[in-house]
Amino acid sequence: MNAMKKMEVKLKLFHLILSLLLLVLCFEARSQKMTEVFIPIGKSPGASGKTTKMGKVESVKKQDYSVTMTLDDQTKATIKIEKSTAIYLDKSIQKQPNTRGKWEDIKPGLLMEANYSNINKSTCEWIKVQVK
Amino acid sequence: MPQPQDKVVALGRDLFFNETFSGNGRTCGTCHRAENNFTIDPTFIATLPDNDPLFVVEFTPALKKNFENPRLLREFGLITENLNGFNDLDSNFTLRGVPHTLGLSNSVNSPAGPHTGWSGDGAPGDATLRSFATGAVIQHFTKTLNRMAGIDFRLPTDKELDALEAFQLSLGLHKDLQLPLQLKSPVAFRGQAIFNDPATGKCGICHFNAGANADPAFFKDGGNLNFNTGVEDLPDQPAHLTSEFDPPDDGFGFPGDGTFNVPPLVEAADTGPFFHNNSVSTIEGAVAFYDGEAFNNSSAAKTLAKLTGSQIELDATQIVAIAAFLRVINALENIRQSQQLLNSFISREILGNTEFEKLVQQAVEEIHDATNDLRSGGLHPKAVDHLQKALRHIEKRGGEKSARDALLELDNAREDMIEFNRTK
Repeated sequence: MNAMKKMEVKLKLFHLILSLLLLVLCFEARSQKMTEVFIPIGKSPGASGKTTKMGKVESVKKQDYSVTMTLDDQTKATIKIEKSTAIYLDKSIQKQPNTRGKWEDIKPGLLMEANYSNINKSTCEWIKVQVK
Repeated sequence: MPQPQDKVVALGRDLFFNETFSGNGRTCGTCHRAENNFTIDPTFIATLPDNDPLFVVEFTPALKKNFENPRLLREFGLITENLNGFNDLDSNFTLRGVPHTLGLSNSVNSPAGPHTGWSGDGAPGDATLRSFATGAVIQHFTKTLNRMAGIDFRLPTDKELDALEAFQLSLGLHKDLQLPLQLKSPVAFRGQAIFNDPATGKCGICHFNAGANADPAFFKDGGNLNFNTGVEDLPDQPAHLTSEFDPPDDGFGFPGDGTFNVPPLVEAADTGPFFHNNSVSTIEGAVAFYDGEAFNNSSAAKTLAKLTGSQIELDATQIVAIAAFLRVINALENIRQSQQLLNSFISREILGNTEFEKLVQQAVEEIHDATNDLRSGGLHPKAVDHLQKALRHIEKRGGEKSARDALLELDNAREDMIEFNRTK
């Protein structure tokens, strides 16, 4: 095997390890807290207002699974939704139990809270959408 | 570190034992009983009246299905947890024992970050011990399975979360032991040596100083870690011997990685049954687990073999010796706690909360625990005699004098077990 091939194999191995690591991190980010779904928007202990951003959904881009929202201070924030991002529907206004949601449930005009993982800071761990 | 006499701790204590958060009647203390080392076991459960909130599933129609398994709760002390979500309550749940809440200050603040609950992933929000109470209210306090905040329960406020955290951090040892201790029982002393020996017991590698943290000599940053020790692979687990449905528990994360959190061992001897599924009822059995097939085929055993060059192999005398060591350190901790409680009673340091009057009774429970730890292991009969004398002093209900006489006997018991310098 020449040096180029060796380098290629090493690179592939590196990519494989990196993918596995990211997979583990995704699981770790989602690792717990299944009771989170029942916590109303803006009330997550130690997370709301600290590691979360909250605002009204301005636009939803299906092409790259991103959501732009307007925050309280009128600035805009774009949230990238990953496969590992949990979507929770806050149905407290409807007096219904909260449930897990889907990408399609995120609609302009709805109040949304996005939480970033403590472990992988650029990954959105969960979002909550207040359903009217 | 929060001290028992701190005001925030007193508030946390009241909340822990009395606050139902407008739910089904349960409090944190329903499962984490002060009189039973902040946990529950089948023997203790059998002493509770049928209307105890622990059995809320038996008298609340809205919780009849998929909230708890009443038989497994009563017979084996197993509680239902929906750690992998609430979408399929019929089959997606785990049954776990109740971990005690002693010595948390040594593990939740470890370099490995906050690990709460049996699999280390028990808290919502920021995953800290402070947030744990919010998840517990949602899981265990709800009036219905809708789990709607403001209707089925109320969420703890920030002030309440602060107080509950402070109270929990005040419990048990605030600093891990520094092994080896100068134990006087030759069996317990030998058990300690085997426990710490990386060539035989290897226990101290994951339970450094008999705590919940790993030995930094083997795991670079130490701290409170998770391992897959193969407990799920144990044959003939008690709950499996019934006809009740007990799905496999995949441990940390979703989907789970099969690992569970390392608990501290100082309070182990009187907080059985052992492991996340209450599968082993005696401390000797829990030690023997590490000499069995289930453990030795596990990923944790393979890691251990890599680190030390061999697997764990223990003979009966060694198993009993390690258990004797654990019994003795637990009894010593019981004595320390009972002395702390009696001193608080004498100095009335803990004021203005409804739990104050229970301090002496809690001290009595601790002395009973120390007695049981030693008696059941055939250890330190003289110390047991001193413990009985301490109890008799307290029974005289002579207030401060009785408490002081009891403290003296507790020192005598301690002196029979370990080399130490009396402070007075």
